[in-house]
Amino acid sequence: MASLPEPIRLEIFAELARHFDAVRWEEISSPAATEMYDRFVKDPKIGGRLARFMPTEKIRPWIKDGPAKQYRRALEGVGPMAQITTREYPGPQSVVRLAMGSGWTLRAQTLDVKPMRCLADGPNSESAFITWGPMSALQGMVWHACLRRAESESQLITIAVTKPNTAPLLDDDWHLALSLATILRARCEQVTYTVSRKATASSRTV
Amino acid sequence: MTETETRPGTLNLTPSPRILEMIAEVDLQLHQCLCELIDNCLDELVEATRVDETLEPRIDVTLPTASKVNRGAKVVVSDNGRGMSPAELRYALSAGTSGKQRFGSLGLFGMGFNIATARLGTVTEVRSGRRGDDQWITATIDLREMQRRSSYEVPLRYERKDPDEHGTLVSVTNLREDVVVKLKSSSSIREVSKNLGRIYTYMLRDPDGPHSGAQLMGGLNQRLYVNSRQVPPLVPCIWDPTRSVMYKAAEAPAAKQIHVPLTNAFACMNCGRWYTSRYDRCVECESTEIQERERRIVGWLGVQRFADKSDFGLTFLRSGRAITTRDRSLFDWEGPDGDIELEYPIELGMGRIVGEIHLDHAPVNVRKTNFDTSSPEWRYMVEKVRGHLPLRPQLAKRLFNRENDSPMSRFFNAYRENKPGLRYLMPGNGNTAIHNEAKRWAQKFRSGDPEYQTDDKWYEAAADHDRVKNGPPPEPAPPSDEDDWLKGEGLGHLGTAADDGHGPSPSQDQKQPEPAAETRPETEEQRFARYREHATLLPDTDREVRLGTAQAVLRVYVTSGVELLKDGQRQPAVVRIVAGEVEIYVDSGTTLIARYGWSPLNVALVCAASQLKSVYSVSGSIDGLVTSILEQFPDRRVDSSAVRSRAEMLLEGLRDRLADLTSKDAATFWSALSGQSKRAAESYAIAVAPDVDWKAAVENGEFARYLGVEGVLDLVTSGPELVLDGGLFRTTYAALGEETQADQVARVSAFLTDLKRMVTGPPLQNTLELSRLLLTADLLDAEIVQA
Repeated sequence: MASLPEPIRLEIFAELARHFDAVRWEEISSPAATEMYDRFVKDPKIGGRLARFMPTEKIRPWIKDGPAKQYRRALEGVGPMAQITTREYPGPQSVVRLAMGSGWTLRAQTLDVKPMRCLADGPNSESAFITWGPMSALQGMVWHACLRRAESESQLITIAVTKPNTAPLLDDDWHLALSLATILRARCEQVTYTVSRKATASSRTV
Repeated sequence: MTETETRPGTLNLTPSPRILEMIAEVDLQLHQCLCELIDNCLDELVEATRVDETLEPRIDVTLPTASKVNRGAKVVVSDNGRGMSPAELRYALSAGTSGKQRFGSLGLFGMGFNIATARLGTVTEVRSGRRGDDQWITATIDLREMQRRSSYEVPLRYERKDPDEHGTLVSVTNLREDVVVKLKSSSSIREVSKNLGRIYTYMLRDPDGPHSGAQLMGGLNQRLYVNSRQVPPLVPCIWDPTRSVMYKAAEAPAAKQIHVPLTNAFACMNCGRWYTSRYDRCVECESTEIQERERRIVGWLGVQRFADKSDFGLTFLRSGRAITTRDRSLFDWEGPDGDIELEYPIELGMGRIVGEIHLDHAPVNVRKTNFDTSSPEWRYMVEKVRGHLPLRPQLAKRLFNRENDSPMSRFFNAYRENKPGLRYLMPGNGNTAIHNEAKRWAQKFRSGDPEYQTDDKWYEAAADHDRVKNGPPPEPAPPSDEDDWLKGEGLGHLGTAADDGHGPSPSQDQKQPEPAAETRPETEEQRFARYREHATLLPDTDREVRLGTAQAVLRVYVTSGVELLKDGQRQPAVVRIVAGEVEIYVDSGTTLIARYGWSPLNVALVCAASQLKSVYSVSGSIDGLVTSILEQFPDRRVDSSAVRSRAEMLLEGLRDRLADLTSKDAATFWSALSGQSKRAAESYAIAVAPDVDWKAAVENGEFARYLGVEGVLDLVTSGPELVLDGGLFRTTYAALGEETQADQVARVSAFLTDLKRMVTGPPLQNTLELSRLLLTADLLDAEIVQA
């Protein structure tokens, strides 16, 4: 089978991004996501076009491991899909500021994903490791905080639990995150991290 | 001290703060309390998204879960709107001062807010902040504390906030005991979510969504979450506005917009009194705050893709919030004597007329569970949408000498019947309407399955019903040589279109396998593809069925014009089982169908049963297997109530049509009736309309409305020339010879005798007889002249 030509790949990315934007993909439960993958495979504009370049059974993993994961990163402004989406998070610098304070800045080239994490520099030349994500990603964030702590006893570490609105986290969730962070001698913050529509896009998402 | 100094000049009637707790005695359900808070959020977000296209609006409701709820738990409603300044917050929280409560927007933070929060619990916090502010401002309304201090003053608190954050959050705690009990039920959160999806259907749905009728129905694309789960709007499942049926020789579309502009009016923002002309000062409360408001009645009427006993009717909305749903009051007709008669639905109690009417200017009750139906605003809407005359045209003509020409009347008349097929846009299986199946598809529509968003599936099922029932439409014959001159003149469209009856047309010949093809072995794949080309799928199959302990997708196709072969022998049905899918092809020309009236599904199951039994290792008898499959098709069940409803519909139609005839020549028709039929009609008339003027009814022909089947039978036997030949029945009569005339009378009489059995006999249990009577009903229906 011929390899997937770049223009077609981009068109399929755009079509998927359109769907992801419309359903707010980052909020989708896993059963709903499973159902949507099935639809994408059947969709002539997505699965139908991919079928010319890959065996049918490869289409679903291609979408799931490629564009679907890219989309979450794209919301953070990272990766090839970032230019295509019509929605975005305020971005890593915003989390650094909200979690650490206004004097802190993201250190270039240290941004990594899954979970989102980076190093940040403070106003008094101190540096900190910061990892962020929703409550559902707490396990990954704690694991990466552990890795940092194993590397260095003195490293400042912040775990920022994001929430999609200004309402505080549920008490039980917040206590769990705080307790885990305390074990690691890490700070824990909750930050409002809301997706907004890109100004240049039409206010209609689909 | 003088006497005047001791006597106060005024009395302070400020009520005790206890009144705030007392008002919580208003009976509001949990979701209704939340609605009062959500209304505020939507009010803000609709405006906020209008001015800021980057805002992705969201409202989050957080409810304590069943395992965690106690009186100290919190109910939280928050939005990401623009937030309030301290002054705005103070104004918003003062009980009953909000002018918005009565007019225009949803928001109220007035009485509704106070009632709702007090109903949930005794301590309410309202936290708000705007973009750019560096502090949240929080007001705490503690009803018990206010009572204790006998003061309406509430403390304010300030907390640090990021300047980017904005929005308003209301949290209620110290929950009332009954709220805790309610939340302890594991289903309560699901129920709340479902109710909110129904109430805010318009607010939450996408006007550009993929569902049929999306743009006609509109929507505001807002988002609401309960415990982080999106609340899906309950979107009406209607036919596309481009679908239509014929009514009175014109197309009656399946969905239509309602737009009634009203003159602007002037509303007192203080007490809510309306004025048709401008006033400087309210005569009711003397307020000078009188504003001009735009008023209009907008919305749509449509036909649902499935009929149901309870799931139909209209939704009335105020400022985007559904106040009443599945409302049937517009199907009622109030007679001159004040009696209310329900005019719709008429058949089997199954209805499918739906719609949404926005009445932003009409008053609602305190709980917002109904409009004030005695208000002039409501009554005017009824007049415009439904009219005051009966929806039934014959009755309207008889009583008022004119028909109801309202939008509702047109829908009622075009879609009153739920007969399967395209004529009434109703999915069927070749035998009956498939109400259960159509409703099952609607569930898929509601769960967001993309294949069920448009009405294609339902439309195909209505078209397939006609195809299975009537056979495929005749293939247009290619123009014959004789037509060539027409073509030459540019008039080719006038050429012969139908088969001339002399054997198969050339086009049908072309569909047969070419002789050369027979010499080449046909693969099984090709053979079944060929069957499918000549087949119609039975619309209610194509679904999973249980076969013993296994599940398989069953599809039954009815073929015509193709021979079904197995081992070179022609078969009535052939079966193909591949990867959990069972396809059965049934020849529509097979004797059981063509001569014995078996349904194709029955033939399919009987022919395939032994094969299914062995492939799926089903224990028990063949009969047991066939029965267990048929039980999974409730639409196919024949019961006595279905037969009786069908018969009553037919009789009603006969009376309507007959009343047209008798009104022109009452005496002749009356004299053709037997004494017994006359007496029966009179007794029936007195039973259903005690104040009927029977003498007048006999003279003006109205007696026809009360005739029993016996009476119609009298007319057919004693006065066939009155009712045959296109009078009441299409049956040809006058032009025939004497013997044939007698046959015709006997034929119609036989149908009517069956009809009598259906309407008046004891309930039938014998399924074969029920099926036979339903067939008679079909035959009789085809014989009756349509209005």
